[in-house]
Amino acid sequence: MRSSNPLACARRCVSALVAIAALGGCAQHGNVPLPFGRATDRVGYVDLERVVEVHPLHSQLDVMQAQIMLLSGQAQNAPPPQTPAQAAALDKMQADLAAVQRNFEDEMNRRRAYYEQREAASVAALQAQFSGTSAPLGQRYGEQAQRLQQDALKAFGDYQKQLYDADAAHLRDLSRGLQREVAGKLEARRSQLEKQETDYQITLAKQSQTQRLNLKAKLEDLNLSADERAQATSQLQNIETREEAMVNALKSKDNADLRAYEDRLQRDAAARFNAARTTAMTQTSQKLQARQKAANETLRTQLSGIGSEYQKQLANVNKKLEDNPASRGQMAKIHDENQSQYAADFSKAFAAYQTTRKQLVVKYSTAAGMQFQDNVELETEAQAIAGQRRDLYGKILEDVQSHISDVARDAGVAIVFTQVRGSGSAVDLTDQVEKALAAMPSPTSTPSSAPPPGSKA
Amino acid sequence: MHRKVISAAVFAAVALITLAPQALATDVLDVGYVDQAAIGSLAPFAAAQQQLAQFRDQTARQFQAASAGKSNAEKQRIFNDFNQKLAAKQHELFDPLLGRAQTAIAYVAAGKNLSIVVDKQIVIYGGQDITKDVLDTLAQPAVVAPVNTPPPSLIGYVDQTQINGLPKVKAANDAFMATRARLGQELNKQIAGKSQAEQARIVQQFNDQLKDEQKKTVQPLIDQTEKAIADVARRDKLILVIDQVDRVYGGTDVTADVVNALK
Repeated sequence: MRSSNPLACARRCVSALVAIAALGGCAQHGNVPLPFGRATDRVGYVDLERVVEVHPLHSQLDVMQAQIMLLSGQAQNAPPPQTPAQAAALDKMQADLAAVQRNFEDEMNRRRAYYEQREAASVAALQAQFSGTSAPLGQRYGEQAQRLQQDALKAFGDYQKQLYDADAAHLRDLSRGLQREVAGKLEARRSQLEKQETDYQITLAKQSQTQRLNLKAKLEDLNLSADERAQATSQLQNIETREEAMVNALKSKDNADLRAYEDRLQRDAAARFNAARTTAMTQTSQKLQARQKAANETLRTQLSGIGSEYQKQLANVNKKLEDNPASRGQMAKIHDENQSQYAADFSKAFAAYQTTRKQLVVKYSTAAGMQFQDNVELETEAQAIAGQRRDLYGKILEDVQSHISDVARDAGVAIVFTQVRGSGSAVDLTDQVEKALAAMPSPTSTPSSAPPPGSKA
Repeated sequence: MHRKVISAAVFAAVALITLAPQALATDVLDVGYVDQAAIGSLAPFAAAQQQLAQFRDQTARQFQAASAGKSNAEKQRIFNDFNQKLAAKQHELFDPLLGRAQTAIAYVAAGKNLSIVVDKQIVIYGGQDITKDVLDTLAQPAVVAPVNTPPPSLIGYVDQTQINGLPKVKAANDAFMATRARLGQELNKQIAGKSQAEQARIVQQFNDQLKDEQKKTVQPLIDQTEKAIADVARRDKLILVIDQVDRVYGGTDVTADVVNALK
């Protein structure tokens, strides 16, 4: 062994001192597992697999393993349906089985949640009793938290309403202003056009004034023949009709221009209104986001504060409950009661669930004229056996560990490994442990004598 | 004065025996062990596990959607991408945690001057359990790496993956796996529709065949490897050699020597 390690040297010195003390017989060291003359810095190892195999109960592990393999094989090698009717029946059976399983799991989840809530409520009542308050601690914390949340929500709602109202008022004023502006501009244009029309009418009247006067003078002549009178009247009428038509044409054009102008004004006003509305909405949204962030931050700080306080109080109360034998007993009772009631519910429901599954398999097997199997049931059985096997292996390992400890102490070995790749100076304790285990009494009865769960024999 | 010193030494020995007999019997070696499962169940690891599971579910859905209607080659490519993404995520989530845990183990081991720390699973008696110290260290806000390296250890370790990479070992393993796959297929055919007793007999037969095959193809190499490891251990005056997967910290790496011996 390498001797450069100072710690190892120190340990050897201590061992020497221990040996001196043992020789002198001056210490009460009856329990010291150091037979005289043996070093305690030896390292041992065992082949765990080999020693476990020697254990009197090991054969049961094999039997259980074989059962698990058989169940797995059975599940994997179910005869396939031969006809479409059988395949349909199998599909339907599997769908029904899946539905039954879902129902069972849902029901169990509900039951578990119910008992958990009931237990939590009972514990909370006990905590309230010990904290000297009327309401459970959690409820108080919940109420405080809820109040804070509600207050924060209300403050935010008020602020939101205030901003929305301000926006609405601003947009309303803007809209009215824009409409006033549109109406004003429109009125100005209308007046301008009307004046132009009047001017045009006057111009036309002036242009035809001489001709009209001549025609009127002619018509005042009493010697005018009927034909001449009719002609002059017609000419006069034509002048008026022409002027009227020209003025009307101008008016039509002006009306069209006015309508176009109004459209342009309205579009412009709408665009300005929309731009203002978008700006207002963006600003309001930014303000709301900022306020919400700040409110969340405040709320988080407040909740964290009361949460810490709650945790502190809860820890204090739980400590009181834990320190007090009566309350400790009460807590245990509450837990045990809920646990046992849930366990009873589960057992009952599980039995009914298994019965239902079996009935479904029988029903569909009969209908299809072939024997179907319930893979979930086989898997459950395999899991149950695997659980039993784990427990048994644990027990075997406990025995093995105890024997290894005894052997190691007797051999002056300080540490024992179970998985090594190769040994230099380490001591192989496997044979000694095997012998010790082989000397154990054989079990009187073994589960292997019972038929394997799930076997149809 | 000299007598006083001797008396003090004897008193110290008596005090040691009286106060801590069990400790003397078990803690004399600089070998520690840690329950890695306990570290793995700490909240940060559980949270990382949950995140990885969520990522796996999400990526699996994406994989299913992406591979729908694709050729087998395309599916394989998408599947490889999926695995790479998953592995990258696993590294991203766990490497910092594992690094921190490794530092904590090194810190505790250095404080106790341990030359090696192994997984709890392989120690059945004795040794120093440093799990609690490691968990306490991990509970601190900052974990500081130790300044000293582990002292030389009389316990060696070997990396089986490097041994498996040797051509003759790889060939033997491949041959055994091929036979096992073939026998497995035959088993499934033979077992169908048989009674339980027959099935049990067939399974037993399968196991026996497998054992024979292993004895024939793999066992000679296992023996050679064991001998090589033992030779290296004796030559280097090591107490024993463990597998690298069981080593957590420290120890003496003998892989290169074993690989050379097997060539």
